[in-house]
Amino acid sequence: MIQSLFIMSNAGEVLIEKHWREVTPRSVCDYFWDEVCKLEDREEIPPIMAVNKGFIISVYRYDMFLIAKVQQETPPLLCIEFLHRVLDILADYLGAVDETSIKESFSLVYQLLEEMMDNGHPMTTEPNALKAMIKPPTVMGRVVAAATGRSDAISEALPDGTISAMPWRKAGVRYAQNEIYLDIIEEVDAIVAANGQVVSSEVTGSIQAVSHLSGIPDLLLTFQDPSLIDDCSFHPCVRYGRFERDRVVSFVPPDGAFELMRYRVATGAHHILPRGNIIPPLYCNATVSFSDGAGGGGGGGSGGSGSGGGSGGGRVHVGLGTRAPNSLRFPGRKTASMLEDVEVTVPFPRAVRTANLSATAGTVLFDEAAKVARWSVGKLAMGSVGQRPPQMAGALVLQPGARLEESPSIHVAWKVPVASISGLSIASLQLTNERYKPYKGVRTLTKSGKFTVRTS
Amino acid sequence: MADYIRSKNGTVGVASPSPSITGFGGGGIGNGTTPPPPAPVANSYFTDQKKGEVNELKQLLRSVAVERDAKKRRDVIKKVIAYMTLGVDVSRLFTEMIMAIETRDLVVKKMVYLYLCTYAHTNPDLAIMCVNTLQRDCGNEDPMVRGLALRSLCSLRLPSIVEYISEPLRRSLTDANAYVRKTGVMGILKLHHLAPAVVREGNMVDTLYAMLHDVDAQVVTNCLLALDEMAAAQGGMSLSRDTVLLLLGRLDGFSEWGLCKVLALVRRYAPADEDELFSMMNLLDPVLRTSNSGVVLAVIDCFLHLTRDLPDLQPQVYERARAPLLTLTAGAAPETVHCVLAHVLILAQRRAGVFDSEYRLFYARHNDHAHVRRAKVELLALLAGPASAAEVLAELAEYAGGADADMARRSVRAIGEICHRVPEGASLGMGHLLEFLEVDAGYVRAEAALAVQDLLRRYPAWRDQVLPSLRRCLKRAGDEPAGKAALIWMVGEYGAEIPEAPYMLEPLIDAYEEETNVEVKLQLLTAAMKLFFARPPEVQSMLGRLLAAAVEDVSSQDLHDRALLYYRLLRADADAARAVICGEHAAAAAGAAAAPPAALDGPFAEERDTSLRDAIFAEFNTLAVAYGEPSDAFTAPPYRVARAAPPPWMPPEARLARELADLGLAPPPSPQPQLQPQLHQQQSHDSGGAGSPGAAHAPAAAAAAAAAAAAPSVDLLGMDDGDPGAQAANGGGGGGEGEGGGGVLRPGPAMGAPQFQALWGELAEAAVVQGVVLRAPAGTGEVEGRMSAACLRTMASGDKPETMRFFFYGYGSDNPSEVHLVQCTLLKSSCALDVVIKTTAADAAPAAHAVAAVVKHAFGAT
Repeated sequence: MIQSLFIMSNAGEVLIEKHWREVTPRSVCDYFWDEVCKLEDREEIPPIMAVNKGFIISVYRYDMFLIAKVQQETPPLLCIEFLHRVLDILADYLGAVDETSIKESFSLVYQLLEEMMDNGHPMTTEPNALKAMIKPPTVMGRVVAAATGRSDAISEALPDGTISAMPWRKAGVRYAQNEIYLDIIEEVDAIVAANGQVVSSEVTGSIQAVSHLSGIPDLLLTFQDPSLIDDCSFHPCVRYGRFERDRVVSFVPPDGAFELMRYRVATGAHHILPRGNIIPPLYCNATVSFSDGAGGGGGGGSGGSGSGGGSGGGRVHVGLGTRAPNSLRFPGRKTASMLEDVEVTVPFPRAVRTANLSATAGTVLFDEAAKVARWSVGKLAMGSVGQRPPQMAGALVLQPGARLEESPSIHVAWKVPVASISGLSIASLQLTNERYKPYKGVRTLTKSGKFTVRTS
Repeated sequence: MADYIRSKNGTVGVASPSPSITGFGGGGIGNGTTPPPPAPVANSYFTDQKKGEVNELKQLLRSVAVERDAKKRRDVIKKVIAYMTLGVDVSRLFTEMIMAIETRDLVVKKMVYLYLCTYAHTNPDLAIMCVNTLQRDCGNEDPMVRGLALRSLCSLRLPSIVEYISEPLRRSLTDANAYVRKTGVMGILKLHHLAPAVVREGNMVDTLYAMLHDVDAQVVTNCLLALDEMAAAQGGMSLSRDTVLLLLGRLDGFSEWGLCKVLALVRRYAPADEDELFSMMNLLDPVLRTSNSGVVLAVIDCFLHLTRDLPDLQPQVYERARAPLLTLTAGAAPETVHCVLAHVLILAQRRAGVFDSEYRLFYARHNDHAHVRRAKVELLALLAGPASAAEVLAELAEYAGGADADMARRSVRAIGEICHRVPEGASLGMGHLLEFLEVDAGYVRAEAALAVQDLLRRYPAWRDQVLPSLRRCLKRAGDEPAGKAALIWMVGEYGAEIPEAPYMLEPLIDAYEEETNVEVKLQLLTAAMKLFFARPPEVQSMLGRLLAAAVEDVSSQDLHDRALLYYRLLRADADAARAVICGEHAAAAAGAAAAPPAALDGPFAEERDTSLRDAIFAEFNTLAVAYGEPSDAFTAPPYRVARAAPPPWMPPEARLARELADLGLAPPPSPQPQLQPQLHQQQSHDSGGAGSPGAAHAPAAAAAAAAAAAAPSVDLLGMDDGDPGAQAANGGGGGGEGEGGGGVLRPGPAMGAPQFQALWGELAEAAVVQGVVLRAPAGTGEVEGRMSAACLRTMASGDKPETMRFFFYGYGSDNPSEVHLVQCTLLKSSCALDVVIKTTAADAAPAAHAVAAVVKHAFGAT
């Protein structure tokens, strides 16, 4: 069980503390902060640390630490899940979770924490149930009211009885327009070797839902081909047993946005590489070379890079292009699609002092402090032949005396609307228990997760 | 909010406060109307900013109490809480805040409750004043207010208000609203910690058991939490078959957190027969679909536990656990992935093959967290099989060239491990390692040298590839002592086959004075000795110089002793020296230079040692797994919470070890004969020289052996299950021979570790004494010997680099039922001795000090 919880800003300031058992002195946070300061990268802090009177379990998200003090042996994942849930709820209530928003609405945060945990045990963590107990902040309440045409209907009293039957759904929901949207989002995690070969790949999908349905709607979701799902996990509202038996998702949705399910895509289908790896929709060849005392000469289309007299220099070149055939599938009608929001991130080693980069398309920014180059490419049309593939190139200036050997791994972000890797599509979404006919919207999106390309 | 204003009449109707409390409340309101005290202007020189602000708030609070402006009041109260959050002590506002509790504004009420719960312990007398209002609120018609008031009332945690709590609590348990009921159940748990007698006398436990049938799952969850925690001393709540079936029957109703608790309880239940077991598992199986990783882990833990005695079923369980675990690692938060990987790791260690086909999922990415990357490397080393070894090795080699030094080291180590475990991949791995011996990064070369050193013992045929590059490597060994030591070992071990071996060592011997690392020097000494027997004419003179330098070397006792030992061995009998130094290879080395050293067959000691893994595995789904150590290893004894008895299926040795480890110490040497597996080279750099370190430490070792014989290691095992009565009788018989305890102590019966531990936890410190020891003892054995002469038996002892720690116990000479427990901590650097005495003697302090004097005397401390 959790004894105390601290919310700490990324500057080490304790924003919120809440004690459920006995008061934990803040010295625990000082210790934690000392440990954080020892690290180059603060998110590398071990999630579990032993302190002299127990353990601290921490998570880092939204540029903020949530620190739980635990005195007894506790399932670690339970604590971590709970801490993330706290952040989910705060994000839901506050819009953006940051130092200012927490400081501004600290009384709300206290109220939420009070209901989410009692005596160190997690209690109510479903957004719908919490909203029935604690009003979201007024500004947002007004926006919601304006957007949905409802008056400020959330009462401060508990809706009797309903809370126990279906803790994730609030009672008495009424909408003039009943609608439910499902987004099938598949994320591709991959490691691509410098020669373009896919070393490892993994595709995880999730179905994100937004539900605005009146009453107690009972939904039944069926897939065209459920065998494409390798393994999945569900939102608590889903009847697991039904899926085990019939491979259908039967549920009464919470009100608002939620993640219905998360699945892994079975690999081994025909359009997938022999070793179970997928073919990504784009290629990226990148070379980073370092030389001694070259002084950052070279052309590369960038002038004024000759400043590094004496110190070592180097060159970087990144080329991008679409790749076909690839593992993307377009359910329904086949459309030549676009890769959107393509962005390449190159984290250079610390020894690089500065870089002079330019690109044939999009914009390049070099963050001097973090030594990271961000190249926002924008859109990339798929399958167009005549188009010249975009490139980024430039010279690197090293710190005086520094030498480098290793080449950085670069990160490529992209997304393709309409496409999916698995080809999973929804056959039907039936509503029972209510009389209205809701509007149903389904979208599909494939995007990059941790998509790493190694350089040579 | 409007609802709540309407409820005003309700509050008045229900209220039935005791007269004394009404008096308090009335007084409070009277106070509010009196004119505020003079503002702290008079002494403003000494008023710091914060105090000024608190006073200002005080004024504000008083004025809003008069004005009755709801909006303004809310702002002021929020300001107080804001200061509280900032860490400013606003406890002085307690009186004013208590007055503010009389409000219909729910948000203000919550804030004031929060304030009260935070500061009640600093103002217990004033806190009584708010009880009246809280009690009244417990009867409010709004269930939310009832619940809130009840929760706050119980969270004040003041013994003085126990009498006011029990009645509203009792009422809450039959409340129509589930929110109030669940709060009430939790309230009982809080009351239990405050006044266990009240809970006992009120038969509340029986009520809670009855409430397990409540329609609301959250109420049931809270009942489980409360019952289990209240019965923690007895190992948790009692679980009947009906209860378990009841819980399993309504699994769907529980929230994810409730499921965790239910699963933790179900894990404890032993099914009557296999049919029941299967039906339980079938009920639990769908729960693996939960998106909450805590629940999934709890289910897997349940499965593993239920099938622990069914080896046929275990593979299925592992198979079933695989997919959900992999799903959890995909796209989850890094902290979650870290913990899940730690669990995947122990499952993979337990049962090879489960995750092998999924090895590609554990390739590290540069934006993974450092601890996730580390876990992945460890997993890859474990998962590589004959088919995948080549691919995994190439991947690991990629990491070894990366920027992250720690990661590179681990990757090289992992490559070494794979070579050991998967002979099919050995040649490929060896190729990578040989490349690493040549790279620029010194730490990679060092790790590669260490890995190669071990591999040569298993695959001696690789000598031809390795030995030619040794000379170059040694020249570049630089400031990585461990790697350098490994290279030197190889030169010594295979010196007969390296033509220029003596000339590789010579520069190092000449530069002996510049070498600072003891490990390297020790290795150099041994290597030179081995080489001397292989190539006497070339080595003789340099060995002489080296021995002379090492004997003179005062930087390390060990080094000095070993050099002296070698020197005397050589002088006494060169053949005997050869037998000692070159060990089993002596004949081969002397006979034919080309005779290949015997290849190692069978596993290294570490590979056989599964006790640590078993200990961690027993703690599946706990912090221990994420830590990679049994919980005892990282929990300081004083902060250890009492834990339920170890599960009965744990072998008695493991239980003992665990309980001793609870004391933060190593268990006493096991009396059973140990197998003698070949030691891993890193542990003992003396492959053949089994005698040499032992000789250096002979006195200490002898003392330790003597102590071990006298001290309780054998007794501990024997007495583990003995009852105290028998022990007392035993003690009575042996009592006559007591002396040497300075008249304070006498010998008594041996005590079991659990008994010691329980006593230690139960007793308060009777005396804490510091002292300075004139000379640090050579080993724990020496101290134990001296203590046993002073009639103090050793429970456990530990020797760490900086400190030595002991736990002793003894019996009072006047009254054998008096038991004295002693904890000694000796800081080696400063020779500072810390003695903590706990005793059952009635007159604790003098008795403890007398014992302390004996202990200090035995230590030779002042």
